[in-house]
Amino acid sequence: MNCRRTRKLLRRAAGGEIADEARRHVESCPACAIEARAHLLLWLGSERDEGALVRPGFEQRLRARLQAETTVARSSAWNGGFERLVRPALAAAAALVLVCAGLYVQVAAPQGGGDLASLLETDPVFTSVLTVDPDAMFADPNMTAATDEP
Amino acid sequence: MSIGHEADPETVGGSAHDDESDASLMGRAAGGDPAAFDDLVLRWKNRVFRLALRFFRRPEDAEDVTQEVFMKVYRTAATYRRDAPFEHWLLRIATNACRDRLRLTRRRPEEILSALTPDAGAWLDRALSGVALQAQQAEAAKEAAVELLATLPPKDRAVLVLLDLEGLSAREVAAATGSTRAAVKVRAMRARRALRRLALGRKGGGGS
Repeated sequence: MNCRRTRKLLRRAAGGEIADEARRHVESCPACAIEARAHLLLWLGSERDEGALVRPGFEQRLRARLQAETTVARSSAWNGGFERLVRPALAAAAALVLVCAGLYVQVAAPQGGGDLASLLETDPVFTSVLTVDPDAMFADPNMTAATDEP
Repeated sequence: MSIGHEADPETVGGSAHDDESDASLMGRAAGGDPAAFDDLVLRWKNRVFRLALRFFRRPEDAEDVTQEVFMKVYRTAATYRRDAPFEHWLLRIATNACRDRLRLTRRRPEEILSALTPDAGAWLDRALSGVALQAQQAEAAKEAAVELLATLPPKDRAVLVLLDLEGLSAREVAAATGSTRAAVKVRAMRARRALRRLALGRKGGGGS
């Protein structure tokens, strides 16, 4: 028996039982001995009862879990929907408040007082600033006082 | 496909749709027929449970994974294509569920080796050498083997279990793991190398 055939037999070994011909080869071949150990390790660590059945009542437990999941999904969908509706509504309300405030300011402002040109014509502060002599505006008051002295 | 449709004792005579194909039941389940889904669960629950037992020693864990698998089947029933065999689709969901859980419980080799008691290590060595053990010693050796396998990457372990223990072909494993046949072969080779290293690591080690 060669190594290839032995390894095939090892992988087919049911219940960790190795066929006699493979066992004889394994005893004389160090590489296949390692392979046999590895396969036995896999089998030992993954062994199961071939006739194992789920506990009775599996369907009921599954149904209960599915229902619980559906309830959670529904409530999170409701919360998500609430979020989706409330957030844009709040944003729209804020925008509406700003627009209303702007309109109110425009309507409540004195007639003709809203633009800069009419402000320049009517506002006494602007008029005084514009009519004042620029040299006088920037002149040093101390210097003026000194020249006034005799 | 070796996942095979096994006639579980529970299912025999237990369903009104015993002759109906899985694909047809899935079609009805996707359409919102709870009875069709129940029939599928009845048919396949033990097969999925036994596959999960390959990865999880505690039956509670295996059952939990089995439930997760059927919950996924329920949620994604509409995505099932009738041209693909149902068992391939189910096996893929089951393999992914097992792998995801293994990922959560995976441990580092050094952590495991330091946690193995000398006795458990010695019994595992004897078991791997083909020596018959008493029941208690054999149990300890199995526990040690389970711990060692927990160090393998979950995908590698899944491929090994499906190929070497479940007897699936490389093509079937590729369908179950969502990869190609060539990728499965490469992964299996790598996984066997890691397994040999683990088995060799135990050789001569383990104390008393």
